[in-house]
Amino acid sequence: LTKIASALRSLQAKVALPIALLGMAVAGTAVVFTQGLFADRLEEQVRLRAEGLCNTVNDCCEITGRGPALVRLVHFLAGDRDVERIVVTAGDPPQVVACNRNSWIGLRASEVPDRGVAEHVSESQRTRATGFHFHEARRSFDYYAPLRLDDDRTETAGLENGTVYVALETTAIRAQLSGSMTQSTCLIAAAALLFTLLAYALLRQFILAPVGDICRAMDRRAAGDATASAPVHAPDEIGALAGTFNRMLAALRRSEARFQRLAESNVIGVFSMEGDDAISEANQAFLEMLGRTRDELAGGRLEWSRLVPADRRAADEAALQRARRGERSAPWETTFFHASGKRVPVLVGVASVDADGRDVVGVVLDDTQRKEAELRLRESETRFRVLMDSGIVGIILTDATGRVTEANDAFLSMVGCTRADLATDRLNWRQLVSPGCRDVAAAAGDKIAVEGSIAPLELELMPAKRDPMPVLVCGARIGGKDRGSPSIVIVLDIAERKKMEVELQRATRAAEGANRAKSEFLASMSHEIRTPMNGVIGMTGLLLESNLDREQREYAETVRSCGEALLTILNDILDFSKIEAGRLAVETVEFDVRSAVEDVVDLLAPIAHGKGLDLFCFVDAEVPRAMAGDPGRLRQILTNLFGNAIKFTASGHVAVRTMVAEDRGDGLLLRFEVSDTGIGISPSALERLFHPFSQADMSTTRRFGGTGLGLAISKRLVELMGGEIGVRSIPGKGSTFWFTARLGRRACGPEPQLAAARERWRVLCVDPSEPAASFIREQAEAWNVETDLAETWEEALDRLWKAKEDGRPYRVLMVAKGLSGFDPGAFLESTGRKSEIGRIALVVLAPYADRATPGRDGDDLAWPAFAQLAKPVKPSHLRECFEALAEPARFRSRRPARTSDSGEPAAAEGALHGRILLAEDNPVNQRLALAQLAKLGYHADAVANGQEAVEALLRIPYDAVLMDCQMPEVDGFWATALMRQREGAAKRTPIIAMTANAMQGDRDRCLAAGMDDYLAKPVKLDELRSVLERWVKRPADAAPADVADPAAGSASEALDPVDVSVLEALSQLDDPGGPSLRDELIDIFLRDAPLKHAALREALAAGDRAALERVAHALKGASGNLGARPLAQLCARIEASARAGELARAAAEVALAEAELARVRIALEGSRESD
Amino acid sequence: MAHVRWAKLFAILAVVGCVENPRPPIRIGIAPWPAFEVLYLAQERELFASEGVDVRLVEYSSLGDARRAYERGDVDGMTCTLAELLRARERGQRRPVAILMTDVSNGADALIARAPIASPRDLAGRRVGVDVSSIGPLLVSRALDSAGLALRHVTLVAIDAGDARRALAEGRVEAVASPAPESLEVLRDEASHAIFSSAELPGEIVRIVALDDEILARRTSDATALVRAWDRAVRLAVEHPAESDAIMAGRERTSVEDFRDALDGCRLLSSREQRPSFAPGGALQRAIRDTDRILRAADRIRGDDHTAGCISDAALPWTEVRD
Repeated sequence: LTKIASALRSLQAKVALPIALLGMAVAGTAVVFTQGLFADRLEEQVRLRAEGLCNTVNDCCEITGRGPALVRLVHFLAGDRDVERIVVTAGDPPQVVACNRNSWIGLRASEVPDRGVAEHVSESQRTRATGFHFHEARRSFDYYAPLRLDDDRTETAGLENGTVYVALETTAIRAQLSGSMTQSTCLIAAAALLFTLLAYALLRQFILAPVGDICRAMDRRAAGDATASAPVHAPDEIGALAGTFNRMLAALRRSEARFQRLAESNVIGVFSMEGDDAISEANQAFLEMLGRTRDELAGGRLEWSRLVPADRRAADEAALQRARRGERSAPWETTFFHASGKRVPVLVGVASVDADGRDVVGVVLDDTQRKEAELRLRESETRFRVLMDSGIVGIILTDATGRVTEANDAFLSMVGCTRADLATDRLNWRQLVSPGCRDVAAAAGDKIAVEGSIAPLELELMPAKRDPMPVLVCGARIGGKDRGSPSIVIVLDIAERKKMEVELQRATRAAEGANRAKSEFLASMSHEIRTPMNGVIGMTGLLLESNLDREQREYAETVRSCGEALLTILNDILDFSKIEAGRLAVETVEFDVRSAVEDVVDLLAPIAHGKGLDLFCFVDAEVPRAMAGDPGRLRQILTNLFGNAIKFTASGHVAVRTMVAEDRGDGLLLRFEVSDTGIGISPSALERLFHPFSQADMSTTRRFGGTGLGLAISKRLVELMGGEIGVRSIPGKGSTFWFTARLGRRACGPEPQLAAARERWRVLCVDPSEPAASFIREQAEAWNVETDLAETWEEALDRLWKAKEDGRPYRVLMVAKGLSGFDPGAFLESTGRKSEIGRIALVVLAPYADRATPGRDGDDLAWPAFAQLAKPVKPSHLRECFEALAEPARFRSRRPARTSDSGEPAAAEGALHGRILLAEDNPVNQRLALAQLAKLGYHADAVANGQEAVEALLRIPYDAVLMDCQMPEVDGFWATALMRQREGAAKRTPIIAMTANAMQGDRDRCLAAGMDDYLAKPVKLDELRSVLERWVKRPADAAPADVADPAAGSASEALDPVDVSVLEALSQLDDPGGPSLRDELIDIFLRDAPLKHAALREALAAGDRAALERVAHALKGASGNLGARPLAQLCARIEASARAGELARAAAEVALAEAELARVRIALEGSRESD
Repeated sequence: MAHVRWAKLFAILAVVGCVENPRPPIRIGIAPWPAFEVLYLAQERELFASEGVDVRLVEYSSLGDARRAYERGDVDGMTCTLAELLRARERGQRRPVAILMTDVSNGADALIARAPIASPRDLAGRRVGVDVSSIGPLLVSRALDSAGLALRHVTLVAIDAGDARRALAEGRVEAVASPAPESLEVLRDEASHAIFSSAELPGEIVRIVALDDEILARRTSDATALVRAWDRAVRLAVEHPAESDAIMAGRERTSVEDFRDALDGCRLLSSREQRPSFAPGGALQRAIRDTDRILRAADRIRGDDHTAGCISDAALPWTEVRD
C-alpha cells in the first residue's frame, strides 16, 4: 500500500492517470454515444424491414387475393430467418386468412394463441394506422399495418378490413448492427487508447524520462556519486532544467572540491560524525595528528570514546551532545590518544550540521605546540626572573610614559630607591637620569614606543645621594606594536667600563699621536732629506763642472753617487708608503714593450759591465711592438729585478726574456723572465722574498745593502697590472725571477718578415761565450733566420766551407771581436774578395767597452758588407742589422748598426748645453730621462715632486725644467704656478711638461698653467733634443709672446718669502734683556699658520665661502705682520676669490699658499737660528 | 513490463470481442405430409427444447417450396422425399444429407385417375399430372412398370401438388400422382379413384429429414437431439393418438379422421427401426439410387451423380430414448 501510495504521488502517476482517465472518458462517451446510436439504428432498420414485408404482403394480396397463393407467399416471406410471424387477417371480426403457421389459418384473430396478434390486429382495424412495438425482452419487433387494397377488384374480395401483422426477430439485425457498432466502438476506444498512449509516450519521452533522469542524477548525487549528472535530451525547458541542474552539480562539485581541498590542505584537523560515536570522515591533518589511517577511518574504528582518555569521556560526550542539540559550545580542550600511545593535547570545536543533530562536524587543532610554548614561556619567565634577580643588570618594566612598573633589585640599587618607592607608582626612569641627559632619555623612550626598540645608549643616572653613574641603556617594546605597550629597559652600570674607555682613549690618542708623528716624521724626513739631497746632488754637479783636480773630482763623484743612492732608497720608501696608503696606481699609455725592455738593459748595462757581467736580451717575435700599459712601472719592475740580478751575481750573465704567455684577443699576458748566474736563493728564503723589508737573509742586507722594499713594490705593481710574480732558484747556480703583466693590444701592423728569413739566409755566429751566441741564435731563429754556432774560428771555417760545399753557404758571419785566430784580412785573402764565400756579410760583435769606439772600420777591410754590434746585443739592433745587410745601399749610407746609443757622457754629442732640472716621481723614468739628457750633453738633476722642484729652482738657476705633470704632493701644475710666482717678471725659466696623457687638451692645460712646451711620454730622444735645443740654446727668447704668464700680473716684488727688513724692525721693538717679541711672534705664527691653512682647506672642501674669506683674511694679516708678503698676497687673492665665489681658483691659490707657507716657515726658522 | 501489460489488455479485448453468440436455432423447412406432422407435434409439445435443441419448423406449402427455401439458405434442413434430396444436391451450392427417415409411404402416395382409366394399363397415351420435382415421376414410372408400360407411353404434365384436384377436374390432365394430404382431397371427388399407390411399392417410397452437411458436421449433437425428439414424438403419437392427431390435423388443416386416414398410409419409423436402412448398401441407399435412375430417365436430373454421401447415421442414436 505504501508503494502504491508512493507511486500515486509520483509525477508519472499524476501525469499518466489524468491522461488515462481522459482516454477512458473519451472511450466511455463514445460507447454511450454508440449505444444510443445503436438503438436508433436498430429501430430504424427493423421498422424498415417490417414495412417492407408488410408492403410485399399488401401487394400479394392485391395480386392473388386470399387463397393458397397468398398462404404460399406468406410462407415464402416468413421463411426468412428474421421473420417470426406473418399474419394476414381480414373481415370483421378479423380472421386469419394467411399465416406462416398453417394451424392459425382460418382462426379468428382473437383465437390465435399469440395474444399480441389479436391486440395489434384489433388496434390496426380500429385506427387504420400502422404501429409497432419493440419487445426488448424477446428481442422481437411487432409491426402492423392495415391492408390498403383496391376495393373494386375480385381478387381482393374477402380481404376487407385486412391487416398485416409482422413479428420480426431482431437478433440478426441486432447482431449485424452490434458488429458495426462494436467495430466503431473499438475503433474509437482504440483511437482513445492510442491517443492516450501517444500522449503518455510523448510526456514520458519529453518530460517524465528527463525528469526521471534528473531525479536519478539527484539520487546518485545524494548517494555520494560525485560524477552524477543529468543528461540533456533536448534544448527545451527540461533540457535547460537539466543544464541548470548540471551546472548546479558542477558548482556543488567545485564547492565540495574546494571544501575538500580546504579540509585536506588544512593543517587543522577536520572531522565529521554521523549519528553514532564513530568518526565517519576526517582529513589528512586529523589522521596524521592521531597517527591513524584511512582504513581505520573507513572501518569505523575511530570512536570518540576510545580516542580520548577515560577521564575526558564524560566531558567530551556532554560537549558533543550540546553540539548535537544545536547549542553553541565554545571550543574545549581535550586529549586524544595518538596511535603510538602518546597523548596529543588538542583544541576541539564542533557544530551540528542538521537540525536533528545527527551529523556533527568539527575541527581539531593540535595544541601541542601551544602547550609547549606555554611551557617554554614559563621557563622563559623563570629565566627572566632569575635574570631579574641576578643583580648583574638593572631591568625595569615601564609603561609607555616611562613609569617603572617593575624593577629588579639591581636597578633599585643603582638608583638608590626602595620597593616602597616603586610602589608609589611615581618612579619614571626618564626622570632618574641627570638633567643633561633627560632630553636624550625622553627621546629614547619615545623611540622605544614608536620604533619598538633602541640601540644601546649611554646615559648618566642620578642616584639619590650619590655621584652620577654612567650607564648603558637599551630597551624594547614588549606586547605588540601598539605604541602604548609596555617596554622593558635594561640598565647596565658602565662606570668601570667608562673608566677603562677613558684609559683606552688616552692610550689610543697617544698611539695615534705617535703614529701620526711617525707618519709626519716620515713625510717630513723624506721631504727634508730629499730637499737637501737635491741640493747636494745639484751642487755636486756644479762642483764637477768647475776646475777640480783628480782627487777633488773623485771626492765630488763619490758625493754625487752616494746622494743618488740615497735618493733611490728614498724613492723606494716613498713608493712603499704609497702602496701602504693605497695610492699607487698604474697608467695606461701606448708604448713599445721592446723599447721599454731595451731601455732597462741600456740603463743597467754600465753597471753590469762594471761587474764584468754579460747582459742578454731576448724578445719573442710574437710580442707586438705597440701595446697599452704603464711603461714607467714596467721599467721599474724590470729595473728592480735586473738590478737585483746584477747585484747578486758576481760572474756570468744576466738575461731578460720577454714572451707572450697568453693571447686573449683584446689583450696579451706578457711574461718577463730575468735570470742570472748569481748566488741563488734558499728555499726557505723564497717564501718571504716578496714581503716588505725582507731580503734573503740579514747577511745579504749587510753584504749587498738595499731596503728590501723593491720586490714588495714590484709584486704590488705586477698585481696592479693583472699579473703574477714568482721566482725559481737554485742556490749557488742562479735565480730566475719572472712576472706577467696584462697589457692592452694596440692597432699596429704585423712586423714585416725579415728579408733574411724570406731569402733563407744562413747565419754563422762564432763566439767563445756560448750563452752570448745562444741568445743571438735564439733571437734570430725567433725571426726564422737559420743560425749556427761555432766557438772557435777553426770550427767556423769548417762550417763555412762545408756549407759552401753543401750548396747552402752562409750569408752572415757574426764574429766576436778579438776571436782567437780570426783575421779578416787573411780570411779575405785566402778566400778571394770576389769569391762566393768572400761575399759573406761580416758582423763584429764588439764588447760593451767598444760601444763608442768601433775600432777598425769595416771599410778598411774592404769587406763587402760589414757591421758591428756592441754588446749587449739588443733585439732591435740585431733586427736592424739584418735589415741593413739586406739593403746594402741603405746600409752604406746610414750604417745604423755600427754603433749603439750610449749613456756615457764621453759619447756626448758635443758641447755642454746647460743644466736641466728634471721633476719626475718614477725613479726609472727619472733615470732614463737623466741618461737621455746626459747623452744630449746636459747636466741634469732630478727631483721627485713639485715642491722639491720649486725649492731646487730657488737654489740653482737651471736653464730649463722638465716637469712631470702627475706627481705626488705638489703636482706639475702647482709647481709651475709657484715657480712663475717666485720668478716674477724679471726672469722666466723654461718649463717643459712631460705627461703620459697625450691629449691636445693636456697640452693646452699645461701651457695655461704657465709651462712653455710639451713632451708626450715616453719621451723620444730626438723629440727631447729638439725641444731642449729650442728652449735652452735661446735662453733670451725664453718667453714666447703667445704664452700667457699666469703670475705676471701678480708678480711679487721680492723673491724672498719673508721681508727681512720687517723682521729687523720688529727686533728693534724688543726690550733689552727681555724676551724677543720677534721670536714670540714667529713662534705664534709658526704654530697658528698651519692650523689656519688647514681651516682654509676645510672651508674649501665644505664650500663655505664665508669661512674661506674669513680665514684667508686672518692669515693675510698674520703673514703681513711678519713680512711674508707673497703669502699675504696669496691670501688676499684667496679672499677675493672666495668673495667672488670662484672656488676653483681659490683651490689653486690655497695649494700655492701651502707651498708658500712652507717657504715662509723655512725662512722664519732660518732667521731665528741665524740670530 | 510495460509491453506485457499492453499485451494483456489486448488479449482481454480480443476475448471479449470473440465471445460467441448463443447457438441459433436449427431451422427445418417443413411441407404438408402426415408423417412430417410428427415433427410439428414435437415442436408443439416442446420436445426439441426438452432434448436441448432449438428447432424451428418453417412451414411451406409444398416440398418444392421447402426445397427452394433450403437452396436459398433460408432454412438449415428440410423434410422431403429422396427426389428433393437429389434435386437439391444437383442444383444448389448446398449439400443436404438424409439424417432421419420419417416414414415409408404405404399408400399415402397414390396415382389417381378418372374413368375411364381404371388401371395403370389405361394410362397409355394419357396426360398424367405430376409434381415433376418430387416423387411423382417415380410413382408413375412404377405404375407403368406394373402395367408393362413405360414413361414414354404417357405424357407427364407438371402441376403443383395443391393444384392436382382442380387440374384433374378441369381435364387438363387425365390422371395425377398426388401425395397425402392432397391425395385425400382429390379422392374426395367421386369421379376420381386411385389406380395405383405406394402400398404397392412397399419400402420404396420414403420421406426423410435432410440437414445441410455443414450444419450436421458442426452441430451433430443438435441433430441427435432432434432425432431423439422425433422418437419421442413418434411414441407420443402412437401412445396418445387423440391428442397428437388433433395437433397434427390442425396443422394439416384437416379433420382428425382424415388425418388418421392419411397417417395410415404412412409407416412411421423410429430411429432404431430405420438404422438398418442407413447401412451402406442398405434400403435407403438403394432407394436413392433407384430414385436417381428414374429421375434421370425422366430427365429431371442431369449431370453428375450425387447419390454418394447423401445419407448419414450420425444423428441416429444407438439406443432408443424412452420417457
